[in-house]
Amino acid sequence: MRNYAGSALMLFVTMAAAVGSYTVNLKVSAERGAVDDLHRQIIADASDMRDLQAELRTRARLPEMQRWSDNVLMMSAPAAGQYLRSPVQLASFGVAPPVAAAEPALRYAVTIPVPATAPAQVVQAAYVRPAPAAPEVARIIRASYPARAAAPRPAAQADAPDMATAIGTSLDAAAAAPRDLLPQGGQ
Amino acid sequence: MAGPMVLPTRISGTVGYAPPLAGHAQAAQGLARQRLVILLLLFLAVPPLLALRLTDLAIFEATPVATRATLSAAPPRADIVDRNGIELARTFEAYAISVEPRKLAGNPQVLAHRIAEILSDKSEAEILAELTHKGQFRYISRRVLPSEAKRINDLGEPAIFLRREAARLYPNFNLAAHAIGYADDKGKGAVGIEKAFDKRLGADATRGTPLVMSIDVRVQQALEHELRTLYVDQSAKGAAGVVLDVNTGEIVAMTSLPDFNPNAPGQTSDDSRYNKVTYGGYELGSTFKALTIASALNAGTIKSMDQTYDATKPIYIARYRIHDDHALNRWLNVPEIFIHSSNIGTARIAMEAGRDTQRAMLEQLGFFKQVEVELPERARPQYPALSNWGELATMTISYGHGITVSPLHLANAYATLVNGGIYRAPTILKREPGKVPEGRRVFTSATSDTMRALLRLVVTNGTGRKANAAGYRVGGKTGTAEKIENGRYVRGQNVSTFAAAFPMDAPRYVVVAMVDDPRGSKSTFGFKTAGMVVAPAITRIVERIGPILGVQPDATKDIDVAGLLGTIDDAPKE
Repeated sequence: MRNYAGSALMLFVTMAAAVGSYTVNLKVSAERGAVDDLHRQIIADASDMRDLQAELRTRARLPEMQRWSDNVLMMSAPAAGQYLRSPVQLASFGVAPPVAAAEPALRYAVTIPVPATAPAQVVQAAYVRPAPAAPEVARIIRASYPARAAAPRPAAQADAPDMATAIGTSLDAAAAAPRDLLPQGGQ
Repeated sequence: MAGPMVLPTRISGTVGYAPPLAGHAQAAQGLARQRLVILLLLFLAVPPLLALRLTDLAIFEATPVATRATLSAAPPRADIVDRNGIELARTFEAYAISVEPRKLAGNPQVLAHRIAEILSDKSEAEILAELTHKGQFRYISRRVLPSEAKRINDLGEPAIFLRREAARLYPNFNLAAHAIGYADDKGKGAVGIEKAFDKRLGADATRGTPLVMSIDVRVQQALEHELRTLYVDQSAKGAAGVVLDVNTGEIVAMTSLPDFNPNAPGQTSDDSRYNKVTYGGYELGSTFKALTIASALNAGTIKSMDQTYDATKPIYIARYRIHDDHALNRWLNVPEIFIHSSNIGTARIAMEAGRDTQRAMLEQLGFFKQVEVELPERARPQYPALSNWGELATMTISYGHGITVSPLHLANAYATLVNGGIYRAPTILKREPGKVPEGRRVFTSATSDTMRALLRLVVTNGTGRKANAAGYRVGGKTGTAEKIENGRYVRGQNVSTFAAAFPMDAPRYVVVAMVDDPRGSKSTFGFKTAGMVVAPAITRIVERIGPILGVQPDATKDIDVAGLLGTIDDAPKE
């Protein structure tokens, strides 16, 4: 009887070990199957991504982009002047043009003899009128051309408004300014 | 006769059975037992054998999970990408739809209508023609997407077959078609890099890694677009262009017109599939003058830029006359010869340097053999045999006549000329920064420096003024040669070439553009010369590709040509 019990115990232990091992085995293979499935899914997704990317690239192909640029966007390559050489050049764009300087008229006097090339002079010429510093204007003319210094001050004062009227106050008319300014300056 | 009965015995030798002798039965039993034991042992041996084999199968012959083919993401053929990783060619899963018309069960007209609704690129009439064809087997369509193939399958027609096949897709269509090439129906490379690297693209070990070309698609698009504009405007027979990195020999862009769509290569003419950049042989005319002057500088026969040559009258030699198109009829110094593009002056320079100098230079530049590039389509240059290379040949070759080379030969020669004098074989594959070959010296660096200044002078003061892209310090040389057809020069048909490099103070790229038989147009005032036709296109190309390639335009920088300018009496007119 004891022998039977021992055998039964052995059988049970063996069965338990076998079933336990088999369960572990099943579990491992199930996990492995899941990993394989995941792997397959990843590959399928990667393939789908490649397909979508290919479709995107085909639709957005460069010859097509060119056609859009030619017909709609009208884009062009940046020209040489659009590149900045240094931070200093960039900073120079931030400085306000010296239009509203304290004594604009005084500057004219110095720059009049220079050939009328700088457009800044023209623009500023139109600002002569709003600055009613008549004595200063008169002083300038005398300073530049001592020969005319003998001219009476009222005459010089009268000249300034005339000139301003001729030019007009709008900036658009400023282009005509050099023609008016220069004869008056005696050039 | 009565006697004892004698039983027949074996001994008698006749028919009869011997009575069982004593011990016979035991022996027979023993034998049977023995056999049974052997059989039993054999049965017992089977399970261990099976166990051994199972172990072998499970452990030694088993394929590890990770290496199973079904779990590999590698495409059946490797992708091709540009230098920045942009896809140029890839493989996708597609289906070939075929039919066996004789076995068709349904009404062909109804079927054709239904299939035409699914396949947008085929008309109903085309499909009907295939369905009612008298042949055994016809393709209705190939390269059909899986979703469309499924819908066709759902029609349920038993005579229609679907076969899976790997189709090659070129997303940019015609762009760089000649360089990339295409693979045929069976996935075997037929043209271009697809053919050159067929094994590499298809091999199991390497198909997972894309093949990286040296092409930059953005530059390619700019070059191709500008050249196509020129090609159409000039009603030309063809055009070709190449952009080459002078320091690495990489081909950044290469185009040949007319071109083709590699997704459907069969739909275009043979002519369009031919790569003029590597497979075309042309007399490239005056662009050779730069090489002649460089070889004379290298050989020491030109000692100073002030050295003058007699161009007072044409040279008459063996029934031929060498003359200048815009003859100055005076002695010219070297810069004058170059910027006026004087044939007489260049011929005299070549004669002074000698035939051997000329031949040695051309050989070192690889002009006597196919251009050294990976593409399979390469032209063999044509040049006179040594026995026939006399004074006349030396003179004509000095200004680019009597020798035919491919535009890529010329581009690489110009790269050698301006990069300090080092020859490197051009390549269509990307070269990593540390893996650029050293190359071999052809010109001294002093020669290279002088040539840079001379080339810049042609653009600032010579025949190439229309190529002067603002800020990019372009240098180059025009070349207008009459076309040869059937061994004779054809009057009025030119091959107009411009070989340029930029920026000339530190050259980085060479651009060669060539137009085959420009007809002149309003925009060129009817002119067909390189200076009028190709030079403006060079400006547009350089202005577009410069920013992409990281070359910054700068109006304040330039190469010093003042020393050369002082020696010139008058600049040529357009």
